[in-house]
Amino acid sequence: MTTSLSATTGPRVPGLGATFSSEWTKLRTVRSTWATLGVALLVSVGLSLLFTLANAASFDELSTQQRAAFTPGDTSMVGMSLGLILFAVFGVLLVSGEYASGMIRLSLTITPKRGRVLTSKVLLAFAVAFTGGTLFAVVSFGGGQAMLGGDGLPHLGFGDPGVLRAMFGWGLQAAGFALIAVALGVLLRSAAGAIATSIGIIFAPLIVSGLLSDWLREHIMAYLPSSAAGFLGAIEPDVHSPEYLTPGIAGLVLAGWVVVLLGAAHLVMRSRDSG
Amino acid sequence: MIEANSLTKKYGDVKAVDGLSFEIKPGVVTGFLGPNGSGKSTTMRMILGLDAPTEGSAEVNGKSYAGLAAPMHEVGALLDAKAVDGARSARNHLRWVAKAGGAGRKRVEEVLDTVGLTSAADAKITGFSLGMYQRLGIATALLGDPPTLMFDEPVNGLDPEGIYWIRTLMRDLAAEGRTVFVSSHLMNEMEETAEHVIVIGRGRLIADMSITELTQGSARSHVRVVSPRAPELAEAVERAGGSVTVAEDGALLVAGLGSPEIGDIALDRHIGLHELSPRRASLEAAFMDLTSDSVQYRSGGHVADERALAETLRTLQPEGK
Repeated sequence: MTTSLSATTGPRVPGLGATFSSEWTKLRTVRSTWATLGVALLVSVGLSLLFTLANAASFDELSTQQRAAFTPGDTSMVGMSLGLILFAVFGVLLVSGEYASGMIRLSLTITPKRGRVLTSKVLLAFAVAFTGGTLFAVVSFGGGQAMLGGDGLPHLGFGDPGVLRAMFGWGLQAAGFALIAVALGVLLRSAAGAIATSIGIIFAPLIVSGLLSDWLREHIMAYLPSSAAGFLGAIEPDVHSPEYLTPGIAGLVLAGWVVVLLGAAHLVMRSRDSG
Repeated sequence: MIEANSLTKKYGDVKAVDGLSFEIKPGVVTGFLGPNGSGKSTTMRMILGLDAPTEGSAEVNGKSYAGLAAPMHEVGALLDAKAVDGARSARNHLRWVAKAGGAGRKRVEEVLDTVGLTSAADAKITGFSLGMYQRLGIATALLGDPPTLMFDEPVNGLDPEGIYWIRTLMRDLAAEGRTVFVSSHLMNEMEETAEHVIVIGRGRLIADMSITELTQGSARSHVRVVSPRAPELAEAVERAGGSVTVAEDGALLVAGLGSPEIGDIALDRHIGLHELSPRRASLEAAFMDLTSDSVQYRSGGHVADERALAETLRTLQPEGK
């Protein structure tokens, strides 16, 4: 059968690149994207610097024991954990808005290959969240350590062991939670539900794990996404914690969750009417 | 060209679309008539690969929708004009669609111009009137310059000016040789626009025929004749096989003969004619006739179930009529 769609004379046949670039246009042309990333910056970096400032100011009041346990690296990263919520919100916004307005039907009419639409959103969420998370970590760490150093307190540099790994580790955490949120956005379709579930996944284990037995913490809680993610960004990890995983294993655990949830999202999106 | 083959969609035990088969041809506007909830939108979503048919299949330009390499350049569709993200500007909305579908920025400006939205292109869509939403939806459908177009209730909620604009556009698109498939739940909306109609009720095909076929075959099509020697002319016309009724103002309403025949009869007898005007039956009236046994249909027209038709008909009239 002859068609007019030959590469030279007919219209361009869109591929993954076209879908990705279209998703990028969608993302950058609404203010909520920039608002979310702006708040993420404020929370991640702002709270980290404030907490570092407070710690530096009260360092003289600490006991010798407390001084010995002081972890200058992770002290300067406290806001980053809260910032993860906003990367999750960012991931949800990437999909749930389209389901709410019904615009997803237009997206899937223009690009009937649904896997390609999801892949584009995933690549985009990863790129933005990984870049943002790493960048915010570098600013929090750099700023925080400069404060501590300026006050003559213990501090670290980017060359110290584990620091660079932790910087990218925060980028991977941000990306991991953004992708989990993308998957939840597809599965639940509602923004509120997906955001609430994402926050639950991030924080619930952190809240309850203190109440659980060491066995549960070591064999169950350690493999939940939030605990694993935490060890990806830790500069001075508590290796005696029951949940402790090496950064490599922690990364694999987080990646496992992302793959499983995105796989489920893909299956549902392929088989569900109107996406 | 759009083809449906035994297209069926079940939700649980309910058949929203029930064994629909039809072929929508290029070059004419085809109306898709049916009451609200009769399965028109579901049918359109199945054609676009958005909803999976329970049974049967649909093809666009000879291929299943999912098999189209550049769908935007094959089919343009307006399903729900309000289903867009209002936080974006119209221009940026069209730009993401253009990128995804493989059209350039220049094309975005062209369609904005075609639908008359250029001056509002940078404003947020949220502030648009319903008519502007419809125009944006039509611009989106036209982006890929596709040979096939589908519009779901495009004139719903529009002012007369907007309705006129959309009707003209649809006719122009068909005149360019495109396939134009337009749904509506009101019969009189189709009368001015469509050349062919497909009527469904409760998900089933009720009629699939050209409007000319429908209205010319109708007993309600007639020629209105005013003559100073009306009784004499009436007699001659009846002798020639026409049937005559007399209107309140004394004019003759002749069925069964065309204006040329009536004119010739008058000339032969040197009877003066003050008026000789063919009156086409309204689409509504023609459909009514479909249900009566007295009218026989000669040609390719197809009426599946006369009782279903009568039932559907009642719902296709504007409210308060």
